[in-house]
Amino acid sequence: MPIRDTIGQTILELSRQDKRIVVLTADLAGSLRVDSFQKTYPDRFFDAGVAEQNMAGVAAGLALYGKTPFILSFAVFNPGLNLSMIRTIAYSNLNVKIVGGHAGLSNAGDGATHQALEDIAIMRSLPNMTVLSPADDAQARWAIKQAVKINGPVYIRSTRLDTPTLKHAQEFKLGQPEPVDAKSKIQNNKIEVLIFSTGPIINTAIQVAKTLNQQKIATRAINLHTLKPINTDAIKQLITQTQKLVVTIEDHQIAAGLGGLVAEISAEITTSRAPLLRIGVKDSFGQSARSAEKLYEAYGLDQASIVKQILEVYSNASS
Amino acid sequence: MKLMTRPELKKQATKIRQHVWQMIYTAQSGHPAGSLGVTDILTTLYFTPILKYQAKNPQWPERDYFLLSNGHVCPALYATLAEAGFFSKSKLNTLRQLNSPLQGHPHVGSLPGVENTSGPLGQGLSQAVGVALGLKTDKKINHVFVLTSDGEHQEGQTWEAYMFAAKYALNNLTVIIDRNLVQIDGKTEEVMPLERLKLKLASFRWRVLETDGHDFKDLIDKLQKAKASQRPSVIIAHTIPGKGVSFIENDYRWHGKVPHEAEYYEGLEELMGKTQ
Repeated sequence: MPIRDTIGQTILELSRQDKRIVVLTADLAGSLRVDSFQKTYPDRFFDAGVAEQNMAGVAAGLALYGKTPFILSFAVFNPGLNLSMIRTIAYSNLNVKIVGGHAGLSNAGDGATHQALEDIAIMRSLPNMTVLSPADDAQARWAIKQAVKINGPVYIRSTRLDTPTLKHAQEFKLGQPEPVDAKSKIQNNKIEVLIFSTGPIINTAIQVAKTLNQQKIATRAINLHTLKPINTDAIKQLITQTQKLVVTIEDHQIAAGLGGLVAEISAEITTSRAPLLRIGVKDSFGQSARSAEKLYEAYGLDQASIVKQILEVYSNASS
Repeated sequence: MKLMTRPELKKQATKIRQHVWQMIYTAQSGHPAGSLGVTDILTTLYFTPILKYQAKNPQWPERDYFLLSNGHVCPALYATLAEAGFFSKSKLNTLRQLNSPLQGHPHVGSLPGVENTSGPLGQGLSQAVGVALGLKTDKKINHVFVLTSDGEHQEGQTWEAYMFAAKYALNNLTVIIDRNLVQIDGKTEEVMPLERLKLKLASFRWRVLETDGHDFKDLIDKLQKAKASQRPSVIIAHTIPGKGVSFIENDYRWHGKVPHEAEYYEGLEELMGKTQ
């Protein structure tokens, strides 16, 4: 199920119990899947029109008054067009939940103007902000519940495409890395390649790990559904246990995104550690394509390209 | 609260102006012109029954809300809140100092009576709209006042907020525009003309009122009219930037300038003379 569908459904479900929840969009109720909320709770739904700055500002005021507003638009605009207002929301520590939709290259057809590749970088640099990047419907449901529980601003990265449901072996905990290859028999002290990923591209990361394991390279894949706050000690421990190579895979710029985050944490490790390979969008904009698959191929983010990149660095690291 | 006569309101405003002048001089940074210019507006709100509040219970659910959008005039808001009893006047001389709750631009949560964070221009009206929308959704009768500058009407977000408030018919919202005709770089009509402002506002389906921003009778009258209005109302308050310190009045260069020592004492003497 697409993450955006789960987000819309979960907001609607929680709103039955929690009367503080209100929803605002900037002329994208259908795209962000809050049209059913609009029909069910017309008095708690506000369409700001094509005006994302004011949408965020009105949400700030609603939060000052005591409501729990969700603001939903495409991640290129929210945050982006309304960054200054979101910064004020963060500084005021207001209870505003920001959903950035259609994030990453997975939004293939619309081209670079509509492909948010910097939203994680922006949002994780803001004090008081929680940044969640769900990988499937179970995590999207969890992310919305967390967002409502947290008294402060939360960013939830949402995507458009149908996304497979992962097999989760454990409960999600805010800030905790989640191993997504639970059946893996690799002992932690035998990890050669460690892969961090976030969002639906985790499915590619899992396939990459499988391929490498088949080639007798002991590989683990870790999902980071929370990018802020994050348990840095747990990340450091995973990195120091890795013998050959740490890899990040993301549908986002590698600068200041997931790759940047892991690089920051890794650089603080004082003992010897494996080198880091960051795979993602490298200082370029996206473009239009007929499908997300074609676009991922063009940007080196398909399974085969990723395996190839890892093997090149892996063999150098081994020699 | 005993009703203040007009001479008493004038005296109260002068006390606030004295604080403002001293605070900015002590801090050695800040915005004197706008702060002195809006003082009579703030005095009218806080020292007549127009704004319902309890200074010792700032979160009182039945209060009216006052939001500031042009955060740089906060010395006037801080001094008004202190005079109204929200916190001790001894805090005023900590303006812009490390760890002071009196930040250079207001921060919600730092100081009793400050309802919103402001500083980035154009963001206050949206926030006031949000508060008014929340109140209206819950069928509450509290009123929301927001003070804006004329310069920040060059920000697009302000007009987004006017549209939104008209759509949701927020008659529990009153905007006051400090129409002092100046901004940092010069006169508003030269930097980026706002006229015909009244027509613009009316065409956004707002009720537009005008007042002399230093005439208490006129201010009370227009604020009462706006509060009772069936439509969202905006009051264009014609003010003199730097009001009360004659040698800085109407001079845009005093937007963010600190008086040097001789100027400070000259201004203080003028302000002190007015309360004797």
